[in-house]
Amino acid sequence: MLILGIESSCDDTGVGVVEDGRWLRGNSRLSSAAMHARFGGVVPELASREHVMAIIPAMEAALDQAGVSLTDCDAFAVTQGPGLLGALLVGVTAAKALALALSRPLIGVHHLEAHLYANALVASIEYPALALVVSGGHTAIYRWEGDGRLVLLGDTQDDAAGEALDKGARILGLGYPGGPAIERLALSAGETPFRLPVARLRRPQHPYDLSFSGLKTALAGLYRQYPDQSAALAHALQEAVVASLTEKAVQALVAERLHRIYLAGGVSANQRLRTRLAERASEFGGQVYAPEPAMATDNGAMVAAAGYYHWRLGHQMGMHEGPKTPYPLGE
Amino acid sequence: MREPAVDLRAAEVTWEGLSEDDLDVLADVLTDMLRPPAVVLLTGPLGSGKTTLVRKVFSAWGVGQPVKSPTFDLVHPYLLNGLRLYHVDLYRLSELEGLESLDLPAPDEEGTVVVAEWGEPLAAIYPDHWKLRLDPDPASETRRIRFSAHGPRAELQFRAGVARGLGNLAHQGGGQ
Repeated sequence: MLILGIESSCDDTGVGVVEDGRWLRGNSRLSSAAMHARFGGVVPELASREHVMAIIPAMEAALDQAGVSLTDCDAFAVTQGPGLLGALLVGVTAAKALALALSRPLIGVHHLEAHLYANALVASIEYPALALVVSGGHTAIYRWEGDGRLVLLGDTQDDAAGEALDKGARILGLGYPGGPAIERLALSAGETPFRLPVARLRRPQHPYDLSFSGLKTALAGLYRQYPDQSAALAHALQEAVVASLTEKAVQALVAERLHRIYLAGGVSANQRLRTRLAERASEFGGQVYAPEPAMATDNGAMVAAAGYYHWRLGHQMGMHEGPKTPYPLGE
Repeated sequence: MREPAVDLRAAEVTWEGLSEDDLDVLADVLTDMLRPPAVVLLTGPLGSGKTTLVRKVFSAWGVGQPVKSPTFDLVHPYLLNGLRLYHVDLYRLSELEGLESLDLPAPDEEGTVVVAEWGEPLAAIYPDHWKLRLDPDPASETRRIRFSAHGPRAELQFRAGVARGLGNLAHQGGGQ
């Protein structure tokens, strides 16, 4: 079963070709980040227009790499949401057109679930497991019971973890994207005398919820006091974000009596997070799995993979359905 | 927190010395003041409390799901008893061009409220709007609020809103 997957929920246009939800055959990603950098930020209409211009070349490149043609594809999968509406619409429309023209099944996929299925490109997913999705726009902990069966355990109540790193980088005067800049600078600091607060939410009904917005205020305050300590502050910021994610995930792992953690999303490329999570999980007999760093950020292959498992469940997207945003998962 | 300084003629309120907890009071005031259709443009540096304020107001209005930062998606729409609330964040945005693809409501569209962080560019689309600026004072770890109305309709609403919102505050014995 060869599936072509399309991702266009945010800044990147991604197309991937995956066989049986497991084997990567081709993948192409065109980022409008360069274009946005030129303007110093996102231009929403431009983002949609960029997707329109990028989607056919990305598709041709992915098919080329896979050595197949469109007619060899058995189904088409697409990120249905959540994301930027105008951007999602481009991918959804392209996928619908392909499915209609070639009389193939069309599968709509949730963006966060697609991130998790990037792990299926490394090895088959073993259920049940804990799933931790960490990116610039999302931070959530799920109990992953089986294909298409996710139960939300915890969610950020304000900023995403990647957003905390990005905005922290902005406060410290570092470049974009902020996550890698913070990670590099933090490495150069070694130990840090600074401690940033890890938010403790008093919500007994939702013990795994997270909060990162207080970090900005605390970091900005410290940076005003210690303007020459940006490396130590970057270190402290990364430690606070990693500690928060790690502790919540490990608490959930133990309470849910699970032994596997699947990590996903752009921030899963952060080495400190991978290392620390693996250390803490192993203390409780847990093992951490993560996608290849290249598959951690938005891409079409993860959508193709997720599409396969939903197709096996008989899920299809109707021709009258559109993008969904907001689009809750597992609630 | 000091008593807010109200200049009704200029449709402007200045409020100094708000602590983290006083954001709750500000949110209560805003919750009482706002009536659709309304547009509020929030400004202030990173970490000044913009998202926190929007969350408190929307939650008080009955939005059940978490009100998260819309920085990545640019817009988070909420449907609420026939009302449409738009939590907008233009932090990542650089150009005014193409704002229409955000699918925001038309000016004065019935039943809509737009609250926009880093919202200054939207002043060009919505001639009637309120502005709320949060300025942290690092020395005292408090915030200074400057809240004003722009455009004839917004000014009228603002004066009525101030009477309602700040009136309730005085009634509760707050603002001391």
